[in-house]
Amino acid sequence: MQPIDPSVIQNRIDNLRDRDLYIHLEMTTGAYAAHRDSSKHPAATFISNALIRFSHGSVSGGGPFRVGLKMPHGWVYSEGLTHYEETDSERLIMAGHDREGKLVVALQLSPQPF
Amino acid sequence: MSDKGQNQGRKLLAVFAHPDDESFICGGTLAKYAAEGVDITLVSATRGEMGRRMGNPPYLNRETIPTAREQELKNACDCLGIRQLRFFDIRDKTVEFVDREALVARIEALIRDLDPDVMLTFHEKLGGHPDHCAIGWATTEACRRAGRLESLYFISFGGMMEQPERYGYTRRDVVKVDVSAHLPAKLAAFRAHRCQSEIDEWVWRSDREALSRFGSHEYFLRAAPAPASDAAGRGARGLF
Repeated sequence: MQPIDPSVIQNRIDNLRDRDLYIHLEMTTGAYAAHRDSSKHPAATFISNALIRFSHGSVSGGGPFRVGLKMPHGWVYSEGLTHYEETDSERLIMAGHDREGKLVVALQLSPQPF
Repeated sequence: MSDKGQNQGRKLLAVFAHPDDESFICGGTLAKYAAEGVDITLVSATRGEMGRRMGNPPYLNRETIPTAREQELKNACDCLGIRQLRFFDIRDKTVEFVDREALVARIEALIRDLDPDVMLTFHEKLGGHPDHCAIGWATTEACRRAGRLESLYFISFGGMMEQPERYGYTRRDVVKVDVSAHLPAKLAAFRAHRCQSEIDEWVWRSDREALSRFGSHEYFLRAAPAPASDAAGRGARGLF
């Protein structure tokens, strides 16, 4: 994973426009959060391999970054993204990590199912 | 229980949820019995692929983490002396949502096939993570159906079972295993789970310092009441 370079990400988002794509979208505070500290409210959600299509999308912010993708009937929105997988050219794999390196958010797009 | 070969020919089946459960929670006990000749089969229901620890800076992502954690678990099994490893290929976080009957049947078939002397899993309520509780429930149910509940023990975290009364149990329900001679193997297994343990700085200090963080005993809860021979509160000192 490499720190997000918004121009690289914008380029890759543009290349995925108007195509059927599989999305993995996730946000998590950690399943053990409440196990370690009962005042914490553990929350996690993910959707894996849902099929979407967007007409335009962009990356925004100065880091951590936001991404918005306009679909025919709605939006995909994700905030807190810090890294992307530079070795994967077909798929766009992005994630947001906290200071300890723990994953907080993930947004992944691929023409093939994950 | 320190004689080498004392438990030769005996079999232990451990059914857990994620790679690292076996090392972080009861690695000392598994290393001890493996050293005594027990043939251990470990089931990991998932590959822990929804874990949040991806390295810092992150070198793993959601798509590379399953393979990385599988390999780390294989390495940890080598450290502990576990020879048989199976995955149920359930996606991390979804153990509680899979077909319960199919999961129980799968575990029951494994129990009947392996005919283990002892089985370990999570307590279905004290597991601490939904996947732990779900695999614990399914394994307990499978043991019940196979008529093997008396061979089943629940793993517990750290010293929580030093005070079983807090959880509605008594000392007679607890089995205490002295793992003090097997802490180096446990530490090696912690380090084998690198992407998960590297965030914990103490694991990577000198061996001596890291080993001092481990308790000398690991505690297990009986799934079935203690047999009469263990009465008088002596407290059993082994699982076999």
